[in-house]
Amino acid sequence: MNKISGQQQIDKRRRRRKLSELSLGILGLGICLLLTPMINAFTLTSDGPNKLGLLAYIFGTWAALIICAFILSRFLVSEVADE
Amino acid sequence: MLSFNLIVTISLLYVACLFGIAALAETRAKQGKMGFIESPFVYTLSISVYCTAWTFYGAVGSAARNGLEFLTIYLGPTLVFIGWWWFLRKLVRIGRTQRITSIADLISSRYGKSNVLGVLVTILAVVGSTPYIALQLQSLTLSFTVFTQGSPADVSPAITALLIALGLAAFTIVFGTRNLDANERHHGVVTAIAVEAIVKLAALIAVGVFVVWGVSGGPSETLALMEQRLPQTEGIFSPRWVTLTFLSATAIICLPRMFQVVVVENAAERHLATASWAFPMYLFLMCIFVVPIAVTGLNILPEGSNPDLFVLTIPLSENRAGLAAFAFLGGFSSATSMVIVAAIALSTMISNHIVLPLWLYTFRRRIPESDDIRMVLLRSRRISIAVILGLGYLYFILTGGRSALASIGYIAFLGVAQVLPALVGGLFWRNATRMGAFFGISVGFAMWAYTLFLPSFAGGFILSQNAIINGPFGISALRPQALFGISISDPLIHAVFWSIFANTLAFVIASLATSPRPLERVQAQQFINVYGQPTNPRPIEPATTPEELYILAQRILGRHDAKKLFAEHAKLQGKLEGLPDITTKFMETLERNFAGSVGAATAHAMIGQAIASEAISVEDLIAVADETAQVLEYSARLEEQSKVLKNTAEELRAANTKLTKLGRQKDDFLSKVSHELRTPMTSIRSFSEILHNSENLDPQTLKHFSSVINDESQRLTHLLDEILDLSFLESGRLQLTKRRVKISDVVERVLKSTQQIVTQANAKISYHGDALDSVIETDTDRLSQVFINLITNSVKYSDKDNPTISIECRKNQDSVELVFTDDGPGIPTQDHAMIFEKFIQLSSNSPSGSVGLGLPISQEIMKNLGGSLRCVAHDGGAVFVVTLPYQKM
Repeated sequence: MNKISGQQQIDKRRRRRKLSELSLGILGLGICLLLTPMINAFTLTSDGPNKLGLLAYIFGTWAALIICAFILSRFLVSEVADE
Repeated sequence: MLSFNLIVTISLLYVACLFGIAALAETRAKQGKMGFIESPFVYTLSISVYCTAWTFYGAVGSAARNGLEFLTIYLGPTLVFIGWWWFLRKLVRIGRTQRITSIADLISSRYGKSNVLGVLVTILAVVGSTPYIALQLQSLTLSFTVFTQGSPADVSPAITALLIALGLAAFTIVFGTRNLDANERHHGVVTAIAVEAIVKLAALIAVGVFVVWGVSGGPSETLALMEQRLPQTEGIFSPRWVTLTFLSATAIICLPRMFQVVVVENAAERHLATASWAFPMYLFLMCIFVVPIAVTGLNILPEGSNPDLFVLTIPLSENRAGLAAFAFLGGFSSATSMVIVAAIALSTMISNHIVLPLWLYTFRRRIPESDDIRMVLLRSRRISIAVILGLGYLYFILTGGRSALASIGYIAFLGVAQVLPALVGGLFWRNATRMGAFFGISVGFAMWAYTLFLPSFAGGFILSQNAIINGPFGISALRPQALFGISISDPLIHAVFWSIFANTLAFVIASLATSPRPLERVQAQQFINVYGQPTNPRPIEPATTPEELYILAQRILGRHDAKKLFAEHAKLQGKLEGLPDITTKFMETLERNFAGSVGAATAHAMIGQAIASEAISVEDLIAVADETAQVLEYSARLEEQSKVLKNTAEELRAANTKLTKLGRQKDDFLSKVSHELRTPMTSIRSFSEILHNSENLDPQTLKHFSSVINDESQRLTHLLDEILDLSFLESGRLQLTKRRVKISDVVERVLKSTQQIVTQANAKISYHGDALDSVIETDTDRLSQVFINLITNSVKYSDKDNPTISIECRKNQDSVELVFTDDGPGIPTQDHAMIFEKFIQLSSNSPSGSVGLGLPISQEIMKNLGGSLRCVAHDGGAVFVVTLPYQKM
């Protein structure tokens, strides 16, 4: 019995670590996409910025981050409840 | 057209509604019916107090002036909330475990409950928030002005702003300081703020939908207009883009009102999980129509129109009075919610960190006879609220109310951002010290004031216009916007660089140069390891009585809460009536409860007085032992584990050797058994074959053959009995029938049994010893079997014509020994261990019928009886010692 619960605890800890690393990964991705010259690489043309492209890029990234945060929060909320 | 009076009436009605909602929520909370009030969505909506009038009006203004730069204000908080698991969760956990009441309280508590730091952060927060409050007054005044233009009731902006400030102060005082909650939570205000959050979002979306479908003619036309009119001429990525995002990310943590709603008002950590996506979504929705409104305003409104007011002026220009009124309410909600929460947060900081410590210092000796501390707190908070709004009004008047909304917001953001290094360091860096935090914040604050705050008055306050341009006293190296000759074209980036850089540098250097005090170490431990370690109870020496403490608690927590707390603890201590004893645990709970009302530093000072000294126990010190100690402990543990592993490996190796030996013994045993069985079986088979095949055998031969078969069968049965016996003995399954018997009786019985064999061999047996009369508890039959075996062996293996055997019986402390000595050839010492092995026969002339199981069986019997049988070295014959356990009856 103890052996099983010990294994479960290890699995749980591993799962939590993975989830928290994933959340850090999403944050890192958000920073890379929004706060680095990458944003210009996607939206700047020789005639100046592609205004609509820029809007689509920023709002699209933003929406994707929200969806990722939503999915992740479903899992992480149970981790919070466990604590 | 909406008249000014109608707008005022709508505003008052709206405020009355908010009053009603707040009152209802308070009542329900008091009745314990939390339900929706404590839901994660109310929490998320209350966080949207971040979206102030700046967002509502200023974002559109910023988009019309600077393109998409306004998005940075939303992207920063989005990133902070997406990474909630790594920072906000820790902050909220600390807030809950330490009963933190404000950001000043957090910093003060982390750095050894230092009130100096509490005061410093409070001053910084008040000064930093003043432009922000002025911004709300300005936006509200502007929005009112829209409705008074050209009407007979044209009130000057200064008067409008004053009236707004007075109204907001009244609302905040009534709802923010109705009572003191032990956790500093304001359910009524938070619920009203949540409602306001919905109103402002709905209003902005309504204006956006009207602009896209009602004014521009549809999404495609709006997109075309955006392409044409959006003032975005360069790539979006720039130092300013990164700086502004950093500032807004900092603001969501460090702004006093944001700290209030995110940390202090948080009822459960899981609410943060919901807010992690719901709040960014709220921001997303707030932004989605900003650009369409800005470009439409630029397109349809006359040149020179204030873009900060497009949200109002577009519906008005299209004669949509209802929508304009709704938009006005949205802006009104944004501004009022911000001012209310900011005023509550700041007033808590002022009363807990400045007023109360001063009051306690002044009236320290008179505490029991003095006024109710709660009244002092409430009064000081009410006055603080008025003062804060007064300062905001003053800033509005001094700056002339003409600056763009966004630029005022950035000034405030950078002001409060000065807390960030001390905050982050406090949460993750064990060696961050109080002095580090003090110097960091002070230097950063001074840099911010010099490079951004004072220049924002444009020569109207302290620094003249000439000093701003050429430096004070004409020293160009001290120019506030090109400090030390480093010229950065954007004054905001210049100020961010200098203030944050100098702040962090001072914080790190001062922290490294000083050592934390014991209490700082304790707090650092509790903050940094907030997810793990429980706190160790501190031994205390009470310098007060439970009665005095009760009076003090009543004054701070209120009669009802104090009574409840004391009763609960008395019950926990097993007291049916009366006050609880002053224990460590009780004092810690009391301090945390006090901290919820008066802040950690003041609560600590009060409890410190009550328990005579700031005792820090050895356990505390052990708990905060630095990393070296932890590493040492860890390595010691590793060493221990490796030792255990080494021992286990050795044990395993020994077990393996033993198993191999046993396997070999088993094979040996089987081969010997087969050999021993084979000999009689061969005889039996041969003779029975002869009997079977020969028909004419004479009776004498027949008798001889059958007698041989009979003898061999008996030998076989005997051998099998012995093997079975040994197997039983070895497995411990032998049933012993113990009874009390005198040793001499057993010896006599054995002599009788062996009489025949002894007589045949002409042997002589003698026995003597003082222990023969001792009574022991044993299985007589089995013990006799051992004795018989020993005597028989002595007789059988003797090389004398008249063998002599002596039996000596002697007594030890808790055993009786019987020594059997013969005068035979003896047993070489190297064979002493071997003779107890199965089927071992040392002598080549062993008597027939012996299979070599006698001694192994005897030894096993003795083990089963709790004694032993061993062979000892002796010159001459063999000596066997039988040891039996003996207990005095």
